[in-house]
Order: sequence, then C-alpha cells, then structure tokens
Amino acid sequence: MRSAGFLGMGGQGIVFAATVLGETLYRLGYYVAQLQNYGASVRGGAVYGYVVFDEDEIVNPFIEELEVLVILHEQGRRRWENIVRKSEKIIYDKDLVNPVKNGIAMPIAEEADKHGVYRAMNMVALGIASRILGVKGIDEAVDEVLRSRKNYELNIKAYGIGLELAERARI
Amino acid sequence: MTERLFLSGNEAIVYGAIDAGCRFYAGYPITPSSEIMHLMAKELPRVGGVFIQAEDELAAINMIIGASWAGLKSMTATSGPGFSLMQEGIGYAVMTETPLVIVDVMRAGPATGQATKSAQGDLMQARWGRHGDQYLVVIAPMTPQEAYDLIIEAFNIAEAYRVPVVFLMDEFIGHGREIVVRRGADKLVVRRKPSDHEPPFGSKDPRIPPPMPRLGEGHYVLVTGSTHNEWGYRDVHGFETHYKLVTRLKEKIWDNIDKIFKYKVYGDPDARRIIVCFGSTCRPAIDAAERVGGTKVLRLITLWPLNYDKLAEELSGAGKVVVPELNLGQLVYDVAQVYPRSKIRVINKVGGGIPIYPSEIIKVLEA
Repeated sequence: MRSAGFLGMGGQGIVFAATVLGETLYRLGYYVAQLQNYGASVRGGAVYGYVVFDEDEIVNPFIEELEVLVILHEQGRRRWENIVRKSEKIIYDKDLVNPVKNGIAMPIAEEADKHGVYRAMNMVALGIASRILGVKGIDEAVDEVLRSRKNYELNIKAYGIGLELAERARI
Repeated sequence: MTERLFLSGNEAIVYGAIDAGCRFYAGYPITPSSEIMHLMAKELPRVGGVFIQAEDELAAINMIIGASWAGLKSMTATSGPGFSLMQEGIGYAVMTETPLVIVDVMRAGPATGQATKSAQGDLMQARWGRHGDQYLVVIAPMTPQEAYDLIIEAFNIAEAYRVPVVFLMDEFIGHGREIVVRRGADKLVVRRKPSDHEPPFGSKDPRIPPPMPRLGEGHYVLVTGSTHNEWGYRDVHGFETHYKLVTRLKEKIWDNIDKIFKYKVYGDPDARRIIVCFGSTCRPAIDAAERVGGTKVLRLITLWPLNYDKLAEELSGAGKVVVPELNLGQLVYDVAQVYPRSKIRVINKVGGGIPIYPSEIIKVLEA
C-alpha cells in the first residue's frame, strides 16, 4: 500500500490537495482511501489530509507512516508529530515550518509567491508529492481533475511549479 | 447497472438510500453529517422524492414519521447534538411502529464537543436514548462501501419489522472517501398493507410485525404514542394493554434476533486472542491481526439487538480479549456480559479525531 499526505493550517487547501490526489488515483484505477482531520475554523488550526492507495482493496487506511509527507505550516507539524516522526520522505516549507529532522526544506511558499500563485501553494505541494510518487499517468489525471474544478489555470500552474521544484531537488 | 465511484461515506449513504427506495428526507444540517443533506437536496427531486430542510431536528424527525405513514420510505441524518434532540421522536416512532432510518454520524461529545472530530461515543445513546422500555435496531458500517450496502439493509429491516433503524457511523467513514461500487439493491422489502380485518398494531405471533396501512387509502387509522390496543385505541389506564404492547414491541425485535443480528469474523477464526470491535476501529484491528497473526477479529455489524449467545460462543475459550473503541468504554460492557471484565484489555481514545493505530493494538495484543 502506498501513501502521501499534506499537513498545514486551515485555509491553505490541505484537504483540497488530498481530495485532488485521491480523485486522481481513483481515475487511474487504484483502490483509494482519502482521509482528513480539520477543525471548525475556516482559517487557522492544524489540518491534515492524506491518501492511501493500492491495486488491491484497502484493509486499513489508518496509518502513521506515510510514504510522502509535505508540510506547509508549523501548526500542522506540531499537531501531528507522530506522523512526522514516522513518515518516510518529508518535504517542508523552509519559511513556514521549523526545521524537520530528516526532512527536506523547500521554498514552496516563496516560489508560489514569485509566480503569483501564493494561494495555490497546496497545488505546489501536490506537484511535489506527485513527482515523488511517480505513478504512471498521474500528471494527465491531475490535469483532468483540476479541469473539473474552479481556478484551473491557477491550480495547474502551481502544480507545474511543484513538479519543477521536486525535479530541481532531485528527489 | 453497477458504477464504480469515489465517494465519502456520507455520499454513499445518499445513493444507497435512493437505491433502497427512500423518497423522503427531512433534516437539519450539522457537522459531520451535512453532506448527506446537501446531496439529498440535489438527488432526491431527480427521482421524484421530496426533500425538506426542517427548522430543527425535532421537526425533522417528526416530518419523516409523517412521511412514513403517508407511505414513503423516509430518512433523516444528524450528529450528536441533533441526535439528542431527535430522541423523543424516535421513541414515538418505536411506539407507533413507524419504519424510519436515522443516520447518526458520530462526532466527539457530549454536548457540542468537537464537531469535526470522529468518535464512537453514541453507542449506548443509539440503543437507550429514549425513555421507557423500547427496542430498535442499530447498525454500524466500517467503510464507505458498507455505508452504501448497509443503508439498504437498514431500510429493509425498518420495513420488515416496522421499526426505526439507527445507522451509527463514525465521522472517519462519513468524511473519508473511498471506492464505492453502486451495485443496486439485491432485494427490497415491500411494506405489507393490512386487509380490512387485520389490526395495524397487533399480531397473534409477536415475531410477525403487524401490517402497516397507508394514510389516505381508506383504512381507519389511529396513530398515537400513548399506550394503544391493536386497533390503535388509547388505553392509558389498563395493565394488560400496556404489557401486551410493550412486550410485543420487544419480542418482534429480540425474537427475530437470528435474522437481524449480523457480525463478521476476520483473521484466524480459531485464535484464542480475540479483538471485539465495531465501525472504523475494526480496520486497524484487522490490520493488526493480519500483521501479528494468531488473532481473531470479531466485528459487530448489528450493535442492537446484540446476540449475547453468539458473542459468548465466539469468545468461549478466549485467552485474551481486546476491545478498542473511540470512546471511554461502551462496547466493553457487552463483552463483559459474556467474558470476565478483569481479563478484558481495553484501548480507548477520545478527542481530536485521532484513530486507533494498528501499532497500539499490536502492543496490547503482545503485552
């Protein structure tokens, strides 16, 4: 069973990133489970969204060890320390998250801001996760899913920035 | 026609309910059940059904009781605080033998608690939330696919036994999205209508629920929450009428327990190490059992009525029994009826919507 997740703060689109990834993998024919944990606030508070997928039916989606974890805000990191501690490949924003042991710092917010897609930072994170997962056909499927949602141009541009960031970092 | 979809448990419930023939929904939005209402508002009119946003949960439960008597399969969905508000209406539905499905997507309580966080704290309330001697059926799914499949079963039980069915689902399942195959209903129970000489509130054999007339079809029907005889006439004084009524309401459920009660065994069926669970908690339990081996998982699908004989049979010869729950210990009381409490190991977790992980179950299994 494979997995990827996002940690951050309410308002960053963490759940949306997990939703798009989940729907993408569903379109690619996988068994998928997408789960999330968030608070009652529209802005602020720790938010966690993740996806597990497999070619076989998923027995248990409640896991602590994610294959890929992208952290976009300190609030999320602090709240879900058990997940951060046990996950395999961790990417975190170099400005919004305190240094994570064994994690890779990346200028996610900075790059998003530079390209005018700051509010689609979640899609940058999705791009990074997609590239690391390296599932066949994932970019085309993400494109399809994003086309069915609002703000396609903004989101797909941000997704591309994520792909590039991951490639540049060679992860 | 089967469709492979990617749905949350909440969404799966809507399609399952529609495929079960549900044509009336009244509700009041509340996290984490609101998506059921949102999707019902969209989908029910498309199949000729009626959707009403009620002014509150009290109105919602009473609206679906009325709709059921008008002949429609009816449902509402809510969560903790709303479920509490519905209890009086549910008791009325038990007394009037009104088929209904009430979905309770469990969040952390008591009171408003933590609206977005998963929990399993409503187990006892689902069974015993009403006053008086009253019995209904409680069913708990484990996955969004089961939310679809079992909600159809819930409607069938409601119709077959003229009883409200509480569909008790964890927030994890309600908001978690997974692959759901919309396969349609294998069979649908059709409500039995009475002939002219058949009473709507009594039957010679208590195991056979009385037929249910539909308002507006010429039957003279009295529906009351007060004690009534088999024709619906009130009797708020007599011993015999009350005794006869409430024992029959109990027996129509408990004497049919072999047909209603469902559970499933996972892992090693002969193992002496046994986990007893319900709802989403069973998934890490099954995972843990598979990882360490030598463990049986006894997963309850029907939470009420509970077949204690079956439970005892499954636990006979058990060496270690583990009961993981997302509450401070409720299912453990059932297990303790058939197995010494001092030998049961519990895993309880509440608040914050944190699931029980397989590693935590393994730790207790191997301790």
